[in-house]
Amino acid sequence: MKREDWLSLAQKLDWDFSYVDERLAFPEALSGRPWLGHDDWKDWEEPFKTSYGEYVKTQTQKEANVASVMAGIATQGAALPPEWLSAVKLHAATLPLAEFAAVIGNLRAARFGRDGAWRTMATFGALDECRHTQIPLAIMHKLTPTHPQFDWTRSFYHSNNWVAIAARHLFDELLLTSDPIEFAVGTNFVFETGFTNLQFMGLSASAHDVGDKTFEEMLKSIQTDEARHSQIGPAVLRVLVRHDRAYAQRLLDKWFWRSWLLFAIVTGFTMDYLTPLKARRMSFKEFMEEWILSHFSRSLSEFGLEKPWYWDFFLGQIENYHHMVYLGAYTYRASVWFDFVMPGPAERAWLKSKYPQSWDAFEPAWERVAARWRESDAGNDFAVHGTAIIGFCNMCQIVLAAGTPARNAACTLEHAGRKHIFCSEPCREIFKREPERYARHDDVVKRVLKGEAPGNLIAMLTEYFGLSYASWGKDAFGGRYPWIKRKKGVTP
Amino acid sequence: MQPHTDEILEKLSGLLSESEARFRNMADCSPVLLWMSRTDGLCDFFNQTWLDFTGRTLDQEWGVGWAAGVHVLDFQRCMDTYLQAFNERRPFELIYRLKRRDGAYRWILDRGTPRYTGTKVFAGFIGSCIDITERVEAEEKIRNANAELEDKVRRRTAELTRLNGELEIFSHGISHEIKTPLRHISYLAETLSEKLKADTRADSECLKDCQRITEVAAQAVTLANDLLKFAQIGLKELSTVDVDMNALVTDVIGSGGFAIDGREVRWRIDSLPCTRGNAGMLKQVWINLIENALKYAKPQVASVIDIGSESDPSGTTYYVRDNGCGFDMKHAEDIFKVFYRLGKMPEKSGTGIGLALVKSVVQRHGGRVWAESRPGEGSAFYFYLPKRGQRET
Repeated sequence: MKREDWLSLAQKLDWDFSYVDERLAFPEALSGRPWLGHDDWKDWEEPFKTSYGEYVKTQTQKEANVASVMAGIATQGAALPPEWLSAVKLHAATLPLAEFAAVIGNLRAARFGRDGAWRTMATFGALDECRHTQIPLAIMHKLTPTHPQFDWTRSFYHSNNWVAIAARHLFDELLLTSDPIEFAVGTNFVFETGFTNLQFMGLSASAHDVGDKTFEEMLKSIQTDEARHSQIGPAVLRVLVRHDRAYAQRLLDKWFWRSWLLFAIVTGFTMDYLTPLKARRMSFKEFMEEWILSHFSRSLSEFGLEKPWYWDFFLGQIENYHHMVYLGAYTYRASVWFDFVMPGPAERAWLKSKYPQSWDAFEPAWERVAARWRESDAGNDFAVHGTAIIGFCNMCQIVLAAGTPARNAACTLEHAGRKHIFCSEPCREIFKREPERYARHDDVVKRVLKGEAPGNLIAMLTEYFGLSYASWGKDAFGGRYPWIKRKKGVTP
Repeated sequence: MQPHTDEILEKLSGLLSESEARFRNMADCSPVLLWMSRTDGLCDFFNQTWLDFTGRTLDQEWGVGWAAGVHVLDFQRCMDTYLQAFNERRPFELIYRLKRRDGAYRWILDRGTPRYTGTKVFAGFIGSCIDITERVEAEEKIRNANAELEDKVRRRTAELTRLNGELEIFSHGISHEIKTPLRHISYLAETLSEKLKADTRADSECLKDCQRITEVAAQAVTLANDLLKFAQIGLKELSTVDVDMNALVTDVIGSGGFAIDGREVRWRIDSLPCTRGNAGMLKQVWINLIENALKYAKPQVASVIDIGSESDPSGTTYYVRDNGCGFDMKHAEDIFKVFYRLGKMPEKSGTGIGLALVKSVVQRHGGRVWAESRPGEGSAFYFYLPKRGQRET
């Protein structure tokens, strides 16, 4: 029997409550605002309409595909370019446990979502996210003996590393505490239909070109799940916009900005720096233009929503932000768990062609880094590294690297007698709307000033960020680049 | 050939490991903290003394791990200096605070120098450190004490300047605002006396009272003058010259003007050494001391005044000794205070400023004054002037 012939029977199963108040079965605090009677939700519809049988069958096939590439992972890992492995390490740490936190967000919707069809999809979503946790954990586990930095796949979220602080700050709120409506807008719509498309489509193509079959298969396997359960987002948003357009807009503005910052780093680093030049098909900006500026903003107008109020600033940031953070992170690479590469003349020429408006401002900074390597011995990373503690945004908890190299966008706000600093206007605005939620979240510098974290950089890395010489980030080539003419007498 | 080469190699390797063991042994027994880094700047050797000092393992200190123990305020400077010197292959000397095993930060003097292999290839750095906390703290204490002293001097100087300013206004007040009306009183009383003398009806008591007013007014003018002199000692810039003390004393005695009530006065004056000082002020010292000796003479007894001096390498003590009434030594300090008068001898009382003036002038010259006496057996007044002034010229 074809699915279309019978699924409508099994899709809409909620009856009207006679003996309990609907508000007791679906309290507003758990189901989300605005609270609407079931009449308003009963037409809830998404395009996949997956049955349990289909789900099990498809997933079984996908599991088999993943298993087939996992066999050769350890040997394949050794053959991959070091910078690409670095990109994998970056994803390995940030992805799996976040997916596991998303299980909670999905399960909340599986119980408190306002329509049976929604709850069915959310149940599958929760199962998807369990897979997305376990697949990378299993794959990276195999790589850890030869590449100790892969240990961060599991330990990243348990650390006080500054990236982990930023990631938890985002996901604790988005995945663990938001109600099903906010989760649907923030996670399913913005994060999954918007940004993860960019991430999974673009990255699996890069993985293919690099020759990383495992990562490619893993991403594809995850992407097809995401494409399905992300459809909860538009379906919920449609109802929400009808009843409270302003609230929908506010959720969109907030989660679009916060998701952007994360993806700019994770995807931006990978596409524009950590993928070997010959394997790059498109720049991060081009992916952003195709998947976000074009697809996503078109879907916004279909919903009758505006582009976020900071849209013009955001467009400028696509040209700058991930370059700013990468440059800053390169000079503080020991503060993270993956290695960095310095863009050489060929990479810089490519970047200039892809970012004609902004790249010239980054050129002198990289020239300085290269000049420093020219006179430093190979492997002496700290000779080309910062030693002071740097500033972090009180909202996103990421380094203050918004704006342009010529003009940092950092700004401040006084709240309850305390001064807060932000990387940019959107972060300040998000804080200003809910100061009671964010005011007590101390960034790394505030923790140092309170005596909770050491101010000595090495002590901070080893005692607070949970890193060691073996695991912290280095220049992937120890400064040995064929295009660098080393000073005479310097150890090659 | 083969066995021979093997033998040499074995021998060399034995020598090498012995030399290595000897180095380790020496390094570990050394009282200084030793470290060594590789060509990539990472430290891979710390002697036992270092590890005992920090209480950390070689694994913890390895690489840049050692820098975790550097005080947060010294960290950046420490890293920057080390890495800069490293890149330039230049010896360096660095002072920073390093955490000891008990958690206390100790000041360390770290000297590093590049090392090279036998074939002159750069091999990294080697460094030695000593704990110089005591030295740093002592220097710190001296710096603090000096700063404190300078601060104190600054505050005192400011206070003195303020007081001097007030004193100047006060002196000005005395000389003009008080002396002028006193002179006026004196003039009016004299005019009144003239009129009373001419008026036959006038009461003789009235005339006496009138003359008394003139006398009291004159006394008040003298007091005002004395106070002015006293006040100005501190205010005037002390211009000094070589002063012939013999000439000064002769001049003072010769000018007379002392009230000796017809008593016989026998002077015994030694030859006095010269000094460096302000001649005008020192003359005032002699006037006041001699006047004092004559004033407190025993009635109906010839006064004997000894004037002399005693020198030592650092300066000269001058004295004026008399055979007058003397005083109880319990007043020896007080008599140099302003307005302090001995005994109830109104006929002998001056303005009560004379000896205070002496003390003030002598102190201004860097000297000191004192007196020795016994009631009924005369007094001796001494003032000591250091030679410093002479050397300064």
